Amino acid sequence: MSEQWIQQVQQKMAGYRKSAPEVSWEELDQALAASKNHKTHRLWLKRMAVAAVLLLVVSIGYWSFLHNNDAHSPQTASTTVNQTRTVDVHHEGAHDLSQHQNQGESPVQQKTLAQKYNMLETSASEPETVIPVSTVNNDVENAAPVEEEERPHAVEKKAMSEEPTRSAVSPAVFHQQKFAESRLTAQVYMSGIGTRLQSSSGSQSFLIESIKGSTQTTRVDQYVHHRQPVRLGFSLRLRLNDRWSVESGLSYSRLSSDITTTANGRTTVTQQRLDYIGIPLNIGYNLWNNHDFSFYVTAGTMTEKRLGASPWQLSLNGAAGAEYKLTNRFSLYAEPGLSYYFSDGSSTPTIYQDHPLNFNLSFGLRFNLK
Amino acid sequence: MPQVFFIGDEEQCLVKRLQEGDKTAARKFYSLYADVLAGICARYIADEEDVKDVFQNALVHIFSHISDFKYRGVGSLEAWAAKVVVNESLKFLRKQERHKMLPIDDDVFDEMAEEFPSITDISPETFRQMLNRLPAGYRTVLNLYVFEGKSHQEIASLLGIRKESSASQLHRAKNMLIKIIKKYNDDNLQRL
Repeated sequence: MSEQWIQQVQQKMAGYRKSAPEVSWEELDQALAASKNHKTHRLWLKRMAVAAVLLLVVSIGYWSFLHNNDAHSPQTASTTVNQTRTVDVHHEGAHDLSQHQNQGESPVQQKTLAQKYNMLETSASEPETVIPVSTVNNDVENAAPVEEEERPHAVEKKAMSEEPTRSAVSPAVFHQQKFAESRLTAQVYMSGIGTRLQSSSGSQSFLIESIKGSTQTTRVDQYVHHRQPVRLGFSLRLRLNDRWSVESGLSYSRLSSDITTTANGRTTVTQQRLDYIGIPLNIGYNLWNNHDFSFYVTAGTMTEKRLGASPWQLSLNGAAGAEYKLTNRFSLYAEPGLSYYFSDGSSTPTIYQDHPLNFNLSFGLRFNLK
Repeated sequence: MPQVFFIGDEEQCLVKRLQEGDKTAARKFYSLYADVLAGICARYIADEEDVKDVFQNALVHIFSHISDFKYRGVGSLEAWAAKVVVNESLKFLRKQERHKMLPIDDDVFDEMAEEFPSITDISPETFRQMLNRLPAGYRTVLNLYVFEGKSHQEIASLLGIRKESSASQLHRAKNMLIKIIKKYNDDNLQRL
């Protein structure tokens, strides 16, 4: 019974309209414009939030990467001190060498080393090959065990740097939407963290003729362990048509290498860190895409400048990419690729020089601007 | 019940244009929905001038929050806009009528429920005016319960009153409405 009157009343008023009062359009237009701005602001806020999260992830990954390196620094320092003192007594020439090694760069002597390096090329990947092939040196027996000792550390470091960074790239839960194409895309990316797809160590042994007129022949073993370069970057991609796009931006790369030098049975471990700022220029070709995924290839060049030093580094890059759409605006991508680095004309041992052909895997986040 | 019928995705297009800040879309929205929304507003608020103010505020809210609106099929824009109008009306009533609200003794049902008289001969406009003669508190509860389909629990939390208070106010609203209708019908008979 009680429901009946409600139904009656509802029916009575169902089509009810009242001629609307006059409104102030000035205020309403302002409200409309404010809403649009509000939306744009929120969109940028959202973009910045995601970029911040990504940067945080990258920073944490990078920090833990560096932190693991630093764990071994004290040991390195003490070895260096011992080395310097002992060698000083025995051999003045070798002292100079070790000091220059510590600075990471030595204009004159490194060049000598590099020349020898090329001449006596043995193997570049396996530490076992450090054992000298031809030598008349007394210290061979000493040199080999020390080298042997260093290796477990290197392995340990690898294991340590791998773990925290892997889990850092955890996908957040996003609302899934259609794969909308946009003309201008911005992207932030990182590469080289947690990727151990290529052995990046090199070792070399060579003889050094006595320097400064010393009568003794000194054997110097140099073992360079290159870590995978860490690269952070930002770039913009402009779609030309359905298939083709161009891309450019700015990247920062850090190359870390552990250089172990053994001379007269004394071992010095030096950490070499080189920073590069680079400008990539790539063209992309879209192979296939559906609502959520897109697959593409890119090819291009990158010009890098080493910070605090003269060399310019040019490289050719090719990569295949897979992109997953998180929302209309955001997508995640992974790009395994190959890079070929041309000689930069310097003698500093870098992964670019020692391994001109380098595999890399970069991860990133894209957001559509237009 | 949607009052406006669209061909194709016209409604969705209108939403998109509004979200892009298109002023002509705002005029179009007004021409399509203003009368319906004003009608809702007038059910809640008795005074014409107040209706005008609340209606303007509701439209400001609609246009300034259109970017928050997600289109969910035909009629969803009107449904959302109607909700905004109801909320703006309640906001106004809360401000205006707080001190005017009659203190209600919830526990006493002083009048017995009477049979609801026929309203077939009453025009919607006249019926709306009858609703406006109810005290604001009664009217609000009746509106929310009958036209917005809210439960007493929902009304209670919307208005910050007890659930029992909502039920008793509806009961009183109904009784008062019956009286008004009866009087109107009697007057009409006399006139004839």
